[in-house]
Amino acid sequence: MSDTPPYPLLDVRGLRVWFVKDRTLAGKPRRWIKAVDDVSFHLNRGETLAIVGESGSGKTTAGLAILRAIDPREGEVWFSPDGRQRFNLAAMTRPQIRPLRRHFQMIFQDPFSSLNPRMTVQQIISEPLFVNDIGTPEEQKERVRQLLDEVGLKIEFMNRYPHAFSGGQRQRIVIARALALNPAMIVCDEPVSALDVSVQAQILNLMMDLKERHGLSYVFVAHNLHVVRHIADRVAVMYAGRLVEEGTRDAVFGRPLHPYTKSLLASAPKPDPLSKRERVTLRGEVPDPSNLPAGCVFHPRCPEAMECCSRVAPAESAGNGRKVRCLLYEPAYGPGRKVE
Amino acid sequence: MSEPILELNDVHVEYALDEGVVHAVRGAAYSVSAGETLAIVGESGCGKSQSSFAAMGLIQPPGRVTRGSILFRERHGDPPTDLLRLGRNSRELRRIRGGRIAMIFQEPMTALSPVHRIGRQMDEVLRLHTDLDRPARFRRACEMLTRVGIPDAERRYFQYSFEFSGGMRQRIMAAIALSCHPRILFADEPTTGLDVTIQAQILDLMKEIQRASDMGIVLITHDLAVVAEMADRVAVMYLGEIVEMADVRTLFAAPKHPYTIALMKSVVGTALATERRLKVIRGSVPGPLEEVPGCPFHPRCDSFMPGVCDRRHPSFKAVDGKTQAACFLYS
Repeated sequence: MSDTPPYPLLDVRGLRVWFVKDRTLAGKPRRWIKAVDDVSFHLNRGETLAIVGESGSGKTTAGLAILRAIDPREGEVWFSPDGRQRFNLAAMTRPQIRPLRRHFQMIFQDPFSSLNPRMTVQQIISEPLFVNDIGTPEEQKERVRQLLDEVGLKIEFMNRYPHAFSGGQRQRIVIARALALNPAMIVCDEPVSALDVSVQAQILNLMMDLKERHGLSYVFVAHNLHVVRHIADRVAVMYAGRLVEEGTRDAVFGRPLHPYTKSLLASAPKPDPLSKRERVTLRGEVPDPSNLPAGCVFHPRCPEAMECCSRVAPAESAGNGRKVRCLLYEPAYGPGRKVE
Repeated sequence: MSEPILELNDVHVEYALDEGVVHAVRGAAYSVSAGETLAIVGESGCGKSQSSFAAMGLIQPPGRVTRGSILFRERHGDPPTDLLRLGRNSRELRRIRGGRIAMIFQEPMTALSPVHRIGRQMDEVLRLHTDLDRPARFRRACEMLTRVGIPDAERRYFQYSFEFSGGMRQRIMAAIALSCHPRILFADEPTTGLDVTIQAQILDLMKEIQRASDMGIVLITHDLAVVAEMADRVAVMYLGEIVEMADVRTLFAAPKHPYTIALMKSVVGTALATERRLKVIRGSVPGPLEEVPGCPFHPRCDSFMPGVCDRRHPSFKAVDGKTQAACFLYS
């Protein structure tokens, strides 16, 4: 990505988030859980980047590390709210980041636990304004009204508490709160997977409308491939803490390159009785993150594994706007397939 | 199709609460034959799990099955037993439940005991429902664990549920449910919350055992993709009633009831959800205590006919050779 302005909204390079699994008697870390390991991606303005993967792939951790909700161990997180100035969130102290926080927000999976049950809807939505000392109480109230209208909730709901709302309505409140400060970027962690199917559609529509209206950009962390295909512009696939493939939605879904992406797409049932699923069901499970296989992390389950895959960790092969990490695409080791 | 193994007729389930009576199931009727998979789809609170709990004798007070019959045929040609006539804890019901009719629950975390070893929980089912002696039961349990894809079964047999991942726990539940070769399997959201690769493994396993033993499956789910893959026939439930029933291809190709159509359009990936902007169902599911006069779906229906839909209750009947539905558009 470019190192001169205009900068992309978000440019993540070599991100590593490791957790200490256990320590020696002297207190030194002995084993690490490599939740996110050497992950790089970027997010353009007005774009939706989906991070997909199975549980334990590190997708949520990556999302949290971008926002410094978790501290990364290594790597750079360049964030540029306006394209002219950029900030490396990974290298800044929390007090330094604080004034920037209004430019990025988060939407969580569970709308039941992400709202304080003792606060009214008005208090919840105006809290970001209150914390950042924006506007008089009257102006804040007016902004809450405006936001409620924007997310499709009645203004009369303002003085109610979260328990009075259904899951879909709560997720609308969460979205209103995230919008309160006009952020440039919202990281959404499984925003619809706790909702009923018909409500999912409402929330996805709302998110797409808001994106158009406010020029928002989303990092959309999800496991539901149908939802991702519907909402994303670009897709990054994670497996066991590594980013194994990245490209435009049509490229990744239409012509997946990495064997893991291929198996993932093939094992997802389609809501169409005429299309029968291919049987490339993956054997085994996602590896233990504290004890990852040597070489390529996917090789024990890979249907196309070669002898060298258990020894050599694949590097990034790039081409035609997409990236893949697989030895099949490195001429030095495998058949040297083309990335296109 | 041969005669059905399981047949629900006009089953009603009610919960008498302080605030009023909740009609969880209102006249559910369906049947399952050997080797067949019937999917019951619907959103949360539509009563799809309650009808299966009724068949398993698992409705707890203040809930009660107020009407109907649930006929179960243990062997081909046998006279059917009405499960609702059996005592709540009768010897007969306990013999059938878990052995002849098995269930995979949605929550593998809560359905397995945290304080007993996996092997003991598997052994209990085999001890109650088969004549096998102890070594034979151990062999059968290990064989089932291997079949559901848990390696090193002889060692894993002695472990506790917390030592397994979520997907493995779900497969252990499947192993327990399937270990006595049930005639009917109720699978209540068997793969919800699992990753797609694990989901594929469990669905494949259910199909494989179904082929081998000619078991009937009642698959309860809200995931239309799973339905499309697994089901032979589909029943769509809304507010405790079955509103449409058809074979799976007909239902996906030509849904008849406005609720089914709306549901299909709102699900990403179905043939009907073609537009970038998804079609949504107006309004929301009414609260459990609200009584909707007439057709339960009329306040949200795009084809609402004033004076008809809000006055009378549509009966569930054949709309053509392939589909049954409860809607005035077809009468």
